[in-house]
Amino acid sequence: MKRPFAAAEAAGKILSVGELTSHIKTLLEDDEVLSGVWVQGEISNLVKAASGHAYFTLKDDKAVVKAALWAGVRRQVKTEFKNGDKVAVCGSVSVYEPRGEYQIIVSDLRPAGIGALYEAFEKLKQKLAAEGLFDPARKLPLPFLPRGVGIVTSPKGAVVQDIFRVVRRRFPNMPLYLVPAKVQGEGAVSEVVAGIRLLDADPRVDVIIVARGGGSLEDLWTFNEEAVCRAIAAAVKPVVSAVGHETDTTIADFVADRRAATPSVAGELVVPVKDDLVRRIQDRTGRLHRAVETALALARQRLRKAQACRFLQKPAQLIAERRLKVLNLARDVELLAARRFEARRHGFQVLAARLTALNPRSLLRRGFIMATDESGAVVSSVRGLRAGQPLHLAFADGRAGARVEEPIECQEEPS
Amino acid sequence: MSPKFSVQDLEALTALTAEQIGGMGYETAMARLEQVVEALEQEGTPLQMGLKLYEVGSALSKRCGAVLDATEARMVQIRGDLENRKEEPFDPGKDGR
Repeated sequence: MKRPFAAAEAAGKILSVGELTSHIKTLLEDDEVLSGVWVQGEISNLVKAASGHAYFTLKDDKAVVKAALWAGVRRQVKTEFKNGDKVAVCGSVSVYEPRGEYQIIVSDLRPAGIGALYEAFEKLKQKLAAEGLFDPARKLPLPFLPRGVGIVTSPKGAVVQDIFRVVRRRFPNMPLYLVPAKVQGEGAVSEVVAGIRLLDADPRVDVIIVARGGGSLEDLWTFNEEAVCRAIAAAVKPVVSAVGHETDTTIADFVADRRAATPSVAGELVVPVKDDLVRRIQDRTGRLHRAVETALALARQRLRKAQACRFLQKPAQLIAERRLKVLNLARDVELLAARRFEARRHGFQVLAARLTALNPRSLLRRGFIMATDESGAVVSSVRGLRAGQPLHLAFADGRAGARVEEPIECQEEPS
Repeated sequence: MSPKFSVQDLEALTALTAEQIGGMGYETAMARLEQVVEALEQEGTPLQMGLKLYEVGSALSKRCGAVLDATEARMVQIRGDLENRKEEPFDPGKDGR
């Protein structure tokens, strides 16, 4: 491969430094293996620049490589890192021409050895899911207003403060029972499990919050442990999980009756706002008073209406009205009687006149004579009379005896 | 039109004793009072019956007023108790729900 200098010069094949570096850059950046490769090593020479970029060296016992983590990517990386941390980074190998250095431009960074954890995570998740522990039907509803709130978390740090602050703000005299527990590292699992069981058995507690602040998958690992998940599932009281940030998911979150994105949200989930409740009670109380007052006013109105009866107001009316009626009737009777009497008198006069007209004595006075036979019967016909028969003749002023001479029957009835 | 209250009805209405009236609630006493008023205003109620109706009606009216006064007094008392109620500390021993 060694080219004679003269030949190279003659052929114009002597490269400038820039040309060489540029060529290397092209070679490296076009390589498929080197773009998007995972590299594992220990962080050293870490510089976190004010611009947000981070620069470090990744090393192992054989070699070192420079790495750059741009601010935009760094914000998305969940893993905290410092010098000495073993990490795996994903990135592309690039060349920084001014210095003739190559470096990895990091696009992702994870704690090393995390693959095993992911595997364990998936395995336990599938196992518990198969047992039905994530079943929505198993989820217990949160109480409307708990008698007390139990909290299992670290007594140090912002998490417990956040929960206390939110609960106290919403419901100032809500009793809070904190069971301090290690949430990370050795003994954390047994402490968290013991805390859940203790609060679950405490009659003062109606809801349990299991909380931990944000962290790496390893930091949150306690909440991916089977014992912790089973303790949450076994609790007879509702358990709210508030582990890590919103983007972190643990198996405890799947098992819990409610998952809170943050500890503050957990505080909001477990207690209502007392002032709202008080306002609601006041509103109902006001309506209650108005309803009772209205009912009473209506009852009084009904009574007043009945009491307005004139006979109840002035019972003398009972008599007065009847007295008036009696007087009216008496007058009516009087009028009627008078009218009847007049009518009768008139009738009597007519009759009397007729009677006068029909009196036989008045006929006798006018010259008529009434004849009677021996038996005293009035003789009104010549028929049956015989000659020599005695008759009595009645006059207006006396009577006389007489004898029939000769009865002569007229052919026609004299008119 | 025949009168709404027969003689039997009127007799039943006026048969109420003071003791019975004293034990009546507002609704019962009020319903009776309204019947008494109607009977009083009805044409053809005998005078003697009218007098009895007046007597019973007065007693019912008094009873209604007394019940309403007592109810109002109790209401005012309850309201007073409610407004003077002091905030008690939230006691987990009691059932707070």
